[in-house]
Amino acid sequence: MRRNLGSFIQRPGQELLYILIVWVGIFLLCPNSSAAEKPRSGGMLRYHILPPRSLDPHMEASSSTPQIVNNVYSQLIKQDLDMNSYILDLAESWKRTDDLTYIFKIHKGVRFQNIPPVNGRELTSEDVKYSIERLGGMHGNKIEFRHRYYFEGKLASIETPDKYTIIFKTKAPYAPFLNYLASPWACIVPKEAVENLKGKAIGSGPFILKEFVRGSHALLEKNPNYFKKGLPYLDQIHIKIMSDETALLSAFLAGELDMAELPESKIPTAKKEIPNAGIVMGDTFFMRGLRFRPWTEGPSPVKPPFNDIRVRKAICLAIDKKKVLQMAHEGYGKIQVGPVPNWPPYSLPESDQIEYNPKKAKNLLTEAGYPNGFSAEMPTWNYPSMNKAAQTIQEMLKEVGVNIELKPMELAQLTNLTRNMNYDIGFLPWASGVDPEDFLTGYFGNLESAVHFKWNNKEIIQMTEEQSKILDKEKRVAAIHKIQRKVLEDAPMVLIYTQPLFMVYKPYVHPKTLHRNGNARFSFAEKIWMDKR
Amino acid sequence: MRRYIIRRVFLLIPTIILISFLVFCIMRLIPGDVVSLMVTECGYASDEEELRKSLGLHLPFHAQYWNYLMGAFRLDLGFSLWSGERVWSEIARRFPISFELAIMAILWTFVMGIPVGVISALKQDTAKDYFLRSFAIAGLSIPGFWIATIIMVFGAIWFKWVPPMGYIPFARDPLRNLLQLLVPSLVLAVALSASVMRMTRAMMLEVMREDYIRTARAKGLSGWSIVTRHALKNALIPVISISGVQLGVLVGGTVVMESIFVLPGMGKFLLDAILWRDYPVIQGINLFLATLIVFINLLVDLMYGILDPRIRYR
Repeated sequence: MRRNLGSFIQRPGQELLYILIVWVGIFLLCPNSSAAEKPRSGGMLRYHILPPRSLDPHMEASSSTPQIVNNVYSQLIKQDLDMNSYILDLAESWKRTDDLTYIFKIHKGVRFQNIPPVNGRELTSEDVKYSIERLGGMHGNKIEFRHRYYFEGKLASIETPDKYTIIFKTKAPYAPFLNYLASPWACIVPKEAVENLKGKAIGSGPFILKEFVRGSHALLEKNPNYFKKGLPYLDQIHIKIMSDETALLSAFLAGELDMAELPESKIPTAKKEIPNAGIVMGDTFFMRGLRFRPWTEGPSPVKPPFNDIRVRKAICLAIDKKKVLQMAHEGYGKIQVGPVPNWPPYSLPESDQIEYNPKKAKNLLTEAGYPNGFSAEMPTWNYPSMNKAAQTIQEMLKEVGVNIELKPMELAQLTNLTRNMNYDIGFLPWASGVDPEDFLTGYFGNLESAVHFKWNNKEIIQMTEEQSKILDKEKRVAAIHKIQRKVLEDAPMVLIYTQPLFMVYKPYVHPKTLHRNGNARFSFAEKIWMDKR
Repeated sequence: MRRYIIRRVFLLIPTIILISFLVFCIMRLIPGDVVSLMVTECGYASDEEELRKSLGLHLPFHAQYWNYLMGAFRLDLGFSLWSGERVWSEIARRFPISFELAIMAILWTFVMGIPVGVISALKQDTAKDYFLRSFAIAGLSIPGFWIATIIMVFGAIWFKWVPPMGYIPFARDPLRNLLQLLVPSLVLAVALSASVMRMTRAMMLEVMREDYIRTARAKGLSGWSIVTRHALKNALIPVISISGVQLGVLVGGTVVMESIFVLPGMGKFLLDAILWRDYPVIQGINLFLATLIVFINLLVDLMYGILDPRIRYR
């Protein structure tokens, strides 16, 4: 006797019930594709950094320091991965009420870690006030604070009307203010512990610094009293202090590291040995380029032949930036256009790029009175990728008749040379930053505040000062583009490339992301979790 | 002997003063200075002079040196210009690591080099001798950092293994501590044992030709007895003296091994201090190492007298 499905359905509504049962069954039996992405608590992550000189976030400038301390201290706000918006951290909310006033409300009940001398006391607005003042060099010996330019002379007052409110008032509209507040260095520290901050870190962040052995490792443990419930996911982070690239690769392959920053030359081996490793390439601010001797006084910049703008422009035209990047980093990294690297919308678009045109370069040199070229010495940093790039540049300039003698030197010697402006043309590294201000004022601002370079073009100096007062982002972007185009017209330097940063992750580490600011590349460890324990 | 020791200890003082002066001068002569480095990192142009003053670097050369020397006599080597840590604390923490590595390397050197040298001498001009000598030449020629890198890379690729990383003190976990230092000490010992092997071989060949060895053979003593009780003791005297000197050099000269095997020893610390122009650290470590080497040399010389009763000190 044949039976059909209809014979099972006796009453109205039963049909619907059976359909529902089938769908629930399908849902329960089929693997949920998003289950693997749900964060899991537990485990110890093993990572590495270069040796930090000290752990004091307000005094230090080396990039290793924030990779430890950003997970021990809290900040009011942090920059997101692209550095184009802010993530609330200690701040529950903030608002700008006028051009000069910023009001921050911090979470209630946030506590410092339960270790002496803070012993778990509550973090209040007074701690925020003290920390920002300290960062600005207002406590202690101000010359020890390398980031005091963020706020020195810029803040009119910091008020704390109650335990959870901070009111910042700037003296004038100050566009970099929020970016500087979100900088990896703007950590909130306890006043009573500042004497020992070079060797210790006591904060209110997701992790407690359990152990720090110089030259060896740092051990972070989960802060059980962290104010963000459910975070951090990890129980511990073991940060090994390592500098040798081969040791890094070996440690990653052998399972001694769960994530590692590797140079591009080691990536193919990592990929071959661990095919499902996650590899993320990040844009960085680590720019490399040619600089001519700074223009510090008088109507005419620098000395012959580089005082002639045609010579400087000829050198710009003679450099094939793609080829230089290819030689230096196998093509990884980014070609640069203007002084602000790699940071849309602030960086210039590709349409502003200076063309590669050696023929035009030769013509310009002939016009300038150098039909047979000339000779010059070019100091550079004796670092493998920079040496390769410098040699490529040397070959390119030779083609247009400029004979360059390379002078590779170690960093301290090179720094001395550049500070004394004792070079005519140099292939040099740029400093990093958290606001376009860092790439402009330090190079093209007024001659007193320009630390890394000096260019006595009054118009550019004026424009550089003005852009820091423009709070409207769109208008500021336009102003910054204008400055950069003016700089390209003057040709005081050839902005060539920014070097890449590769982070490799074991498949069980999540998320696999990278911050645009290399200094903050490990600043969000509270969100890291692993599939395995 | 006592007078000899006292005289040598007193001679230590001008030696150390001379070394401290040389290091002090050299550091200030090489281009690049710490203040430029500090100011370049987000600093202000106007900070330079103030920073120089706060670090005591504005004083005339002789005043800086005098302050440093007086501090050294009080056993105060100053503070790191970058980290603010006491130089003595850093040395006290790092020296045991480098010393342990150096001692293990020397022990492996003896274990590998001396027996091989003896065998090579006893089997002179045989296939065994040629093979062992070739091995020794290879050990001398192949750079230690290359061997270390090969071990790291191929250990990781083939066996998913690297030596334990992250220094663990001996007191906390003796086994892991020894495992951690095993591979780097072996790598260091390869080149050292090659020179020990060659020297042992040469000395053994010379000693085995002595009359008293022929007498011992004539008396009917076994080969083993002749080698261990009569020949080896005399052959090893220069070997031990060289090893003592090597120990001192090793303590400060293991930069590459410390970098590759992630050991927070003196060598890497000194290199970083040089790159960052951390003058008190450089001066402190050099002074410490110089004193150590001078003392080791003294001990080696004294041991010479103990090993060879013919030697008398006046």
